[in-house]
Amino acid sequence: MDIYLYLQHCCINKDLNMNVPVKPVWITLFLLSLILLFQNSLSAQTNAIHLKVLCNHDQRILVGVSFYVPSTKKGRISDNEGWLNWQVPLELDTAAAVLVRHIGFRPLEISIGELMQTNVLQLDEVGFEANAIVIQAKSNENAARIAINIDKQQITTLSDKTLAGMLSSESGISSMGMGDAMAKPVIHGLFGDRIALIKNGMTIQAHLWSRKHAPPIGGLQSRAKLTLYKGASTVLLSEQALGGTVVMDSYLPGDFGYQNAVFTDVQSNGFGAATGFEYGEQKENFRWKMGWYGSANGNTTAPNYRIENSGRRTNEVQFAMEGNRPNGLDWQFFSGWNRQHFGIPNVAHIGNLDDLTEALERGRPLSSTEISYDLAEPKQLVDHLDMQGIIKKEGGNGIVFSLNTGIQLNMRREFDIRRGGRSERPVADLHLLDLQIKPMWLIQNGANQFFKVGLDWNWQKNSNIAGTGIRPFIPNYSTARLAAFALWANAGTNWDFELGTRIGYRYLDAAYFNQFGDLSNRQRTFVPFSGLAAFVYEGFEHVHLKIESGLGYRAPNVAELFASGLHHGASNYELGDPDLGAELGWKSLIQADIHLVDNLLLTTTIHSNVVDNYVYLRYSGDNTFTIRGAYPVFNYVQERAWIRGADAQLSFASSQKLKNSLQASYLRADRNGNQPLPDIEPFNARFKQEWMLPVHGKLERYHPIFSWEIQYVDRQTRFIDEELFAAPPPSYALVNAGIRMKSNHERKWTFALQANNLLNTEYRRYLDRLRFYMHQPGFNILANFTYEF
Amino acid sequence: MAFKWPILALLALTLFVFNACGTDDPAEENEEELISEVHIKFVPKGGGEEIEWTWKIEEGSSAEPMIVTSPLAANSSYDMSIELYGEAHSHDGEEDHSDDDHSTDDHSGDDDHGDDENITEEIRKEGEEHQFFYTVTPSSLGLSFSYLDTDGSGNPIGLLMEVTTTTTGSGELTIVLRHELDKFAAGVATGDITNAGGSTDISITLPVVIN
Repeated sequence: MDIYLYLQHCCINKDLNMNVPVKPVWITLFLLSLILLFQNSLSAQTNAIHLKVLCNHDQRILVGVSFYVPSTKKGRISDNEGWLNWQVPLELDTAAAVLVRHIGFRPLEISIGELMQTNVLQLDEVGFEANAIVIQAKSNENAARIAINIDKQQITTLSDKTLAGMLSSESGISSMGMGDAMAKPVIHGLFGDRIALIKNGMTIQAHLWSRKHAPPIGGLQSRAKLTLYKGASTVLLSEQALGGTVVMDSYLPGDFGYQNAVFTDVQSNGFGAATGFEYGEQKENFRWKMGWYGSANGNTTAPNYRIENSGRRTNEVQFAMEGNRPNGLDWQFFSGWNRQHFGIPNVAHIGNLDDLTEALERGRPLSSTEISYDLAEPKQLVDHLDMQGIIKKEGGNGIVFSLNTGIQLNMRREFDIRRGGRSERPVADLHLLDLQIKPMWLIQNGANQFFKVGLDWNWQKNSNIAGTGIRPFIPNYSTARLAAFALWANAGTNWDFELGTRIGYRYLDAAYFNQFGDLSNRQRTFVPFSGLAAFVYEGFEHVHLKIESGLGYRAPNVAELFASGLHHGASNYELGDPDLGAELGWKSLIQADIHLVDNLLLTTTIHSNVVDNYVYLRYSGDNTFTIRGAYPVFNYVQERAWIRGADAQLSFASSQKLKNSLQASYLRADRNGNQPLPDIEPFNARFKQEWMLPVHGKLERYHPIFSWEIQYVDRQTRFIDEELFAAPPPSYALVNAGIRMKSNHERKWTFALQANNLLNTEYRRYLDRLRFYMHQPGFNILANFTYEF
Repeated sequence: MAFKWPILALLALTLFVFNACGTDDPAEENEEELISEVHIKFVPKGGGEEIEWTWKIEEGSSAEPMIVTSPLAANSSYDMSIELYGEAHSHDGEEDHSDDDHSTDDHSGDDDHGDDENITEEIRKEGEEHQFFYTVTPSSLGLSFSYLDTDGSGNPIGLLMEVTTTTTGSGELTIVLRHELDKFAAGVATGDITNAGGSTDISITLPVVIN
């Protein structure tokens, strides 16, 4: 823990204007000295256990399976990939018994010697399938990180398979945006570019600063491996990830969890439908796949009215291939196109402050509307194209070199209601081109430790496409960034740790119109530095402990620096500050997995994030007057923020047929002492029961499972009146229920039927900007059918 | 090292891009939709001198609008017309944002709008999507408005109005132009904005004196 205290002392400075309070070289030297210090610990002689843990029923991998030696009080758990990598000290008798336990599975007692001879260990399921998704086996990296593999079954029954939707059932995770479709994930209160989105190792770059900007992630991602890191992943991936990281890795034919498939969804609310397929082949030294996903939804309904222009359409194509050359060179290629086309409900199209006041007083549209699939203005049309190539080659002496290169083009067009037949002309037309190159060396030192060193280069150019007839709100800009990083990971007998640091240079050149309409140019430079320390201890019989701490550095984005003028359709007059400093964040987490008895698991996470120079949009208290009326003026400001809280999840199987889970999340965020920070998710809790139905005959083979849950979200009581247009919405409770079944024969299929908001409860979400104008969707029945072949 | 070339390539690319990453200036847009001037003409029904009111502002500026009004006569009826103009932009980067334009207050009787664009016809063509609302404060002020023009569906637009005055007094007139409103909502056809919805294109307030 001294490491964290040292880092905190050095790097969190109370002076808001001091962006680089400590020379990064000292951090680097400090980390290197720690590496040398720990080097001695690597010489202990051990026996290696390296195996994968699977369910014997359907061969899915099992994460978090406990392996414990009662005689020595030493133990390990399987990692996020289902691997158990355990260096057992030689002095430990190979006949010593190991107790293997996992909730929902029959406990197993097996000797160390037997485990050493085993590559795959299969556990007997006693009633239920575990929620872990099937994932690809690659390596044991990130063993020390606090990570969650997202429940694939949960995703199947989502009405919109957006990234925010896929993640938000996890404790501590919520979504922010305009409605469910135009939303982005929020991890422990942080959002936007404080959350790194990584797709096959490449950081997704899009226009993501505003609430109404959703990440360009489509429905095919629900079939990929999706891992959430709640800690600050600020070394390998991005120094900006102060809040957390979402990692999306594509499966290829031959991977655990990959199946060719066709799938379709329908839903009653908005009469929506989605369909897609994924098909691939595996040959010697070569495999490929492609997939398509498309969806269309009409106007959705709140409990008492249908919402005009609330439909959406998405389209997605993904292609991937991978090969191995005889000289030991591995290569991968990924490319994709994702189109998101969203209608913005007319009720949210606000002309001025008077319109806003009226809309707030109504709190709902003036009238209901008919079902329609037309997407009229105001609307968004976003296309995202990406292409990525990866090569990997093993050299001598355990060195593996990899080179990851990517190019992305994000094209955002926003349309508004305009006069004179101009509605078909976008009010904003932005093209963001992004290039990334990342060479990395992995140096494996025995089975227990590895080093990763590398460079991360990124270049971006954002262009406003002329012809909108509206003065650009976001500047033309280009950025270049170069960073070097080093990470050391080590595994002991019942512990793992990771230690890393990253230092870089970022240059930004922007050309923009200021609030008086004058063209300005501005250059900024930043020297980002970040660090990570993570530790996991598995030596207790009933408790697995993970401790993680990361330093992050986020340069302010262009909206925060240079926004100037009316944010169309949002009724905000937003003003950036070109002199904003960088955010410095220090996020720490402690997670304990407590296995009190075989059928009960309690996972608790306590987290704290101190962010110096935290940037947010704050109402200035002033209005600006135009011929359209008054607009409230919002300024980007920065202050010191402290965001902390706790997540807890209790899972217990009350019988072999009945599984229960209770999860809760509490978050408190202050700035400058105890003033509440806006836009923080209130306390929320969820209770869920899953019951394996006692059916007989032919139905028995389909394992039908009935589930229901009640979700409670409290009212946010911590806010400052003057900073909100309207008070936070009241608390609410939702009830959802569903049934799912599957066939595990040669041709597999799954079927799920889900009823969301079963009681048709009228409610608003605090983090949804549309809450000012309308309620969340009401009762919705969803059905999903997936056929795998 | 077997992999020197990626580093060399990366450094070369970095140097190249750092040198080449200049940013193009964004194009100045011709903001055709901006309305910067409103002219209201009152023509006495029984004959007499026309009265013209003007409201003008530079869009996006925080300066106070320039407002010119003249008293209306009590116990009179007027045919009123309203015209909207957009500000012509030079787009040569030499726009003067000082308040010199605001000093011009003589629009009486002629169409001295320079290069400003008349947007009135555009509103008329899109009459089904637009409607003006005229609200008098206090409501007891002896001034009332009734619509004289209609769109293709027979609903009012408000570019032409009949104005009636009764007793003397003073107050304010707020003129709101709504876009994409619900013209069939209760009260909207008679000029009640309460249920109109839509979004506001202009919202201006002028002082009224009735002598």
